[in-house]
Amino acid sequence: MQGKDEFEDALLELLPSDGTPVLNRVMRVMMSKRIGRIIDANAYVEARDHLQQLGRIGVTRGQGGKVFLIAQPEPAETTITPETWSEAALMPFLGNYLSEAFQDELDLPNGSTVVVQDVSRVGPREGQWTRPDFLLVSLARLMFMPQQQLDVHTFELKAEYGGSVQSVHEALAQTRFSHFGHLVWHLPEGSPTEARLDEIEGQCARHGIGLILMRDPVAARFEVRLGPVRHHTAALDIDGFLVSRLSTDNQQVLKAALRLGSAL
Amino acid sequence: MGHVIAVANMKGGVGKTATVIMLSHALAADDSAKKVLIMDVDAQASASFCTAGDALHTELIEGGLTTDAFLEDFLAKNIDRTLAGYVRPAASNVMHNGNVLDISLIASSPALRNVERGLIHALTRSGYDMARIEAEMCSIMVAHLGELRRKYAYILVDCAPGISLMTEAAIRVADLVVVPTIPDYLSVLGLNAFRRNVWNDLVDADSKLPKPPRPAHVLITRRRSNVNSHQQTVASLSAQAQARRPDFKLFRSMIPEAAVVPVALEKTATDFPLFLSLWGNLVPELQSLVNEVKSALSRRT
Repeated sequence: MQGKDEFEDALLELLPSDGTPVLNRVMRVMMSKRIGRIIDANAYVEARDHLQQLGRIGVTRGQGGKVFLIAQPEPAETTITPETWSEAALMPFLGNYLSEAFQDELDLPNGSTVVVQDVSRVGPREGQWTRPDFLLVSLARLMFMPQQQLDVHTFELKAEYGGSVQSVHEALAQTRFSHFGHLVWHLPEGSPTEARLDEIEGQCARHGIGLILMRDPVAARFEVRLGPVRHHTAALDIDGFLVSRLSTDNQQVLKAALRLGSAL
Repeated sequence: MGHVIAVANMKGGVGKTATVIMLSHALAADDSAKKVLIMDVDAQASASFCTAGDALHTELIEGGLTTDAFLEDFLAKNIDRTLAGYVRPAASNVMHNGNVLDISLIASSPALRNVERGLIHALTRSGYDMARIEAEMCSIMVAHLGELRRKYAYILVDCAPGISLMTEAAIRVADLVVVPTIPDYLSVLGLNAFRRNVWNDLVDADSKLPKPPRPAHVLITRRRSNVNSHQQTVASLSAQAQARRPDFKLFRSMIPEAAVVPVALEKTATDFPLFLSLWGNLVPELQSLVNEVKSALSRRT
């Protein structure tokens, strides 16, 4: 460890973990003492600015300025236990469910196409409630009618203690871009948060939002409490949403299915 | 080549450690290009604590980077390691003009007293007499300080009260011995005894130890200008220092008894102060003292 890296490591180690700011000049003295050699102002500023660019520290102005530690996200969970279920840990189980049991329940005609995609990290950060966790697009080929029917489902996933009336509104907001909005709530049997179920279910019914309870993700035990009501979302909004969220591969799958349907 | 300044007095409580800390800050602040080293040879280790703070001082003791560890390693265990290997750079918390004061430290620990005693016992059992032990210690100090003199502009030695092996050697090999003295009757008695002991060798006329190259430079400390006895003592010492063949020199700068001193000694260990705010209204006196010290060192011996 030499020079800049050494300074940056020392700076991160010495900053209070609770985010309390420290004067720049004090931090420079602390770093010099820690490393055992005098750190000049330029070397300090270089290390500080680099860490700021990386988003590891913040800087405040006044009195010569201060630096503070920015809390970093918890490391990814390596062991999953019922006590540590987070939304991130639940995502793969929801993906499996949507790709299998949920699709079966849609009872789509033979020859239909379905794509499922994790879109929780896709799309613009700005705006309120614009990022559903999962997206399911079904393209149903009908027996006698010439058209194909495209349905877009959005899913908002909530962990055990995240389920609330507000999460219903979140799922509802996502129907700005979809036909069907779903709230998926991890609610193990006997959970103290079951007390909220009646109210949440009532809100879902009121707004036409589907409610799926994830009772046991490992055993793939899901309970559909409410089916969603189809929202008459503008075709242009749906199209723009799919273009901005679906992966290239999934877009190709849908386009191919649409071409095939037209040709038949 | 850098200068070795021993801050010494047989009498305790006269402000030796405070002088070392003040002078180290003032010398480092005076010229940021000049490195300052504090060498603590007092088992009370107050200068080490005030400079490094509790955490770093503990780390240095645990890591064996102390004067007593040097004595044990070099003399008792015959490990060939220079004193420079025991230096902890960047030991101070104090800043001045946007720079961290470049003050390094060779720390001390309470073990020093027993290490020195153990060494004397071991060497006397091997047939060494005290004069030879002291002479040996002086030559070791001269050799090891040589390397440090090339790196540091000023090496300030915080000596122990009374006389100990390392203190004795440090006083005799120093370029300048600063003797802090409170201007009261008992302190002046102690000052006279100390001068006789080191400079006149009245105690041991056969001593082969080298004498310091310059006369003792007395620094009045903890002076209370409103106390008559202090005024009279200062006047008396001034008259003696201005005699035709004076036994000692007296700095014109004087450190008053001031609340800022104990506060600063605590702050320098626990906070991250600025030199000017740390020493407050003492700063002009310290700057004046620095000029006198530099002038004394520049005079030929």
